[in-house]
Amino acid sequence: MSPPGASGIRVASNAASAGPVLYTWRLRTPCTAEDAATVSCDSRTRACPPVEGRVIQFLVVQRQRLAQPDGNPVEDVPPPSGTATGAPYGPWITDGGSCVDVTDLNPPPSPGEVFQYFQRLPLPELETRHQPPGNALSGLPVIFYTDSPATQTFTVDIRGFTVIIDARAERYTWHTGDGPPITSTDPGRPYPDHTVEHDYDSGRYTARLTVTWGATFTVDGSAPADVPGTTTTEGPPVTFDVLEARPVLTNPYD
Amino acid sequence: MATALLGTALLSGCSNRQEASTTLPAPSASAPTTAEALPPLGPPDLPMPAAARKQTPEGAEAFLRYYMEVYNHAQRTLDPTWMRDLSSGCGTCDRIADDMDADSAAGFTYQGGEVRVDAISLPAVSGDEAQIALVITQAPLAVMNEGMPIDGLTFPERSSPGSGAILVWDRAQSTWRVSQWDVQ
Repeated sequence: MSPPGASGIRVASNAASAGPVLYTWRLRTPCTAEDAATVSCDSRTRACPPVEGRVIQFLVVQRQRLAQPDGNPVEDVPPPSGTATGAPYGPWITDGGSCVDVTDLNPPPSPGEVFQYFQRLPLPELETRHQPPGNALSGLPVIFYTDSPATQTFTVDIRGFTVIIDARAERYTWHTGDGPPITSTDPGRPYPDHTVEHDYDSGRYTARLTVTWGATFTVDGSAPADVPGTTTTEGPPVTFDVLEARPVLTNPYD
Repeated sequence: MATALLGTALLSGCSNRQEASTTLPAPSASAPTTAEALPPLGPPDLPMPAAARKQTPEGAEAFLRYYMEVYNHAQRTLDPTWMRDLSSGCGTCDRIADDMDADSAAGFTYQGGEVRVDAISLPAVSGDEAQIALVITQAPLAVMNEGMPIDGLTFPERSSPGSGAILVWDRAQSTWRVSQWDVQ
């Protein structure tokens, strides 16, 4: 474990030390290092400056003394009698929270790291379907739905770890082109089971669908965990005319 | 079941320093200056020795040895009041005390489980803090219900050679308190 560099970032590594090894180290998230029941974890965490290609996390750094070959004290505390050389002893000493570059430890992808990948995935852009197809009639609601797939699975490689991201559409925002959007948690259905509709006056309108995606992920077959955040896709717009319906008397014998 | 944590909490648990508790009586206007003048602390049948109330390495060692006796006292009585009072934000201490309360409420008792200090290093005292390394062993422990050991709640003897503690000095009460107890 290095001391903080000019950027304030410490570097964690399992590489052999040049001098005597005085400590064993451990890294903990603020919530495991302290009592999360009394203080919010978020208040103990701060953002770390991103460095391209490096994994940097805000962690609590703790160290424990290791018994030296000559039995000399480390930080003024000698090992208890009988302690084997190289064995840890004494209390864990907390160095406090730091931004730590843990890339060399090759940690599994964190939820935040997976979220960064999730935001860049080529998620489907769901198409807006409407009924009646083609032109619509004023006074007759226009039904919206989408029959595009609402789930998609991606397998990505993150620093050598196989990460499977199961994305699912969680919220549908229908921009009708006429007033505020309509929000639903289902993709709508065609007539007669429709759930999303809008009444238009006559005119030309352009509608589109924004989908909010959530996801779960697994790392090398682990139990699924939620991706901490959502992302959106914009579907292609569709334009249609709404015509004024005119009653016309017809001769049923014509 | 809370009881299962006693053996594992002590023998494999760890704690981290937290904010000071307020379980001890409020400080007096002026702190006593001699051990003889100090108000007693600890269980009435196990009062804290004067040697443990000195802000010196020897005092810190005496206090930690005494605290282990307080822990053993709590196991015998299932009353962790003094474990809590003589600690300050010690996660291990609080967890053990909570388990004792739960077991006491369930009508359980403990058989065995005494902790002994096998070795202890001379503490390093810096200001109001002392760091101590120690080796402890906990005797076999059985949690009993109506005189019978409970399945899954019997623990063999276990030595914890890499243990340590951090104490903080309470000037108002002229006593150390355990703020961290790491058991490997």
